[in-house]
Amino acid sequence: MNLSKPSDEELLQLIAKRNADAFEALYDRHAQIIYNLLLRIIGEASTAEELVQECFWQVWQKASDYRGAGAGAAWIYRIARNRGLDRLRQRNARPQTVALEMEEAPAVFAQYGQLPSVETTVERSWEQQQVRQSLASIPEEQRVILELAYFEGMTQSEIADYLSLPIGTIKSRIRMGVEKLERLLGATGLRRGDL
Amino acid sequence: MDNQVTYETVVELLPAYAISALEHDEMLAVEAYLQRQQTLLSRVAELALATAQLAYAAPAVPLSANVKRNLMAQVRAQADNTQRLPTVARAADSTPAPPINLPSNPLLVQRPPERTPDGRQERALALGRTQQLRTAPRAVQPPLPAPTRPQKFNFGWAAAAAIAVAALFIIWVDMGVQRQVGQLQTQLANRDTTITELSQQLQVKDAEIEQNRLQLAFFAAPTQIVALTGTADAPAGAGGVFYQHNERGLLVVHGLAQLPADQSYQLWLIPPDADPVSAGFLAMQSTDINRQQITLPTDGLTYNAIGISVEPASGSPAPTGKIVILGAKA
Repeated sequence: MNLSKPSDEELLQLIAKRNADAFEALYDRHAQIIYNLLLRIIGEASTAEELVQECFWQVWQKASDYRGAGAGAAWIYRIARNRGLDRLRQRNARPQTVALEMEEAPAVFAQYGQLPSVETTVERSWEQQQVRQSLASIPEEQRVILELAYFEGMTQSEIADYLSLPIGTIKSRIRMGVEKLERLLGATGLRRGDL
Repeated sequence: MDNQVTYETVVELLPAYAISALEHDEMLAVEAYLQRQQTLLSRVAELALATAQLAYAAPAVPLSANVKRNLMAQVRAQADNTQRLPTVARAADSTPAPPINLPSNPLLVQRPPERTPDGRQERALALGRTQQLRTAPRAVQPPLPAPTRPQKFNFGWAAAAAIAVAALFIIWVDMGVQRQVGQLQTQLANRDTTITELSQQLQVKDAEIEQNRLQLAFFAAPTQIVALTGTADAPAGAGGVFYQHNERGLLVVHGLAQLPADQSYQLWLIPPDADPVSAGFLAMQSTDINRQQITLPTDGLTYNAIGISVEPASGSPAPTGKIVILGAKA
């Protein structure tokens, strides 16, 4: 185990053994992105903060459930997204659609909020910038559909109704969009543990 | 649908499955198929990792440090309990979720019912205390002994009078307690305000320290330094770029004049045999010394000089205005 920078999967193993320091490291690594995600889904800061706490509390309680199949971050983000979408369905309301905004995370961090280490901040912001630039290269027609599915929790048929497009078009765009995302992930050179 | 799905169909559905966009029956069919054909699980994991990138597309908004503080308090408390009771079986699944939005001041946790703005709960609580105090002495008083023989003096009236006096005394004490509670609440509210103000100041200071640490990291261990000097158009201009691993650097410039709103300073990377490539704008700050991080292209661009020119506010694809700063890369 590389103790200087343990992977998410290694941190989850430690968390399963009730290691609070490992939990804090995992939180510092992903909390901001998860908050952005939940805020994007819910559209309300206080609820998003509440869901961040619930999500990480679930990670703390259920880390032993992580079986090592797939990236740890993908597992955590799925927990967060499911919680966000569940809350959205409970409210039976949709947040306002927010256009993809490539904000400078370090500048925002610098204003206030949690302050992880310099190394973590620089490294994460660099990686996020890489991913965001890659996402921006996905064709708009595919990206909009991916956003509706990912952030709004819509199914293919719901998206087809919403955009008044044939279901076949939606299916093919989702397939192409996700496969493009996959290629971009490789192109950015990010490791599994980076996400 | 389960009976109809084929390997090819499932493979085709997996991207939508990974992003949870399938209809309910399709989702069930795919999951049933994956149970039988576990060779596809690694493919599902790859697609899940790819779709997780979408989380990065959400706009960045700073997360309050209170979230971490509250969460870590809960986590560390439970971790400590686990360490103290190693032989007790952990009941993680049954542990309730942490209280949400705990106040930062732990004192507030001790007095939640008294936080109502109109004080109704507070009064109800006080009345409850009064009732308790009123009834408590009765509960502890031993029953009066039954008279063994008739007496002329009426003990019943005497007892009633004593109780009435005691009740008046308790009411008087209770009023004093209520006054003290009110004073303590006022003190607590003032302390909360002070703590909130201090926390905000602390956050600002922390942010400043963090920014400075970030820039110190560049200064402390640069892999390369490029000196920048002002041209004839800006003889007072000077500065440098402190590189880290040829991917990013800290640009420090001073001595440049403030520009009108319709102009900006644009940074250029200048290849030996090609047109300059824009590396962004220089964000002019209120002080004479401007510091900002810059990201360098990693697509193999070779450049041997760095320059800053005056351009329209929206920028230019190539330098059009006066070059004010130049520096040669070793």
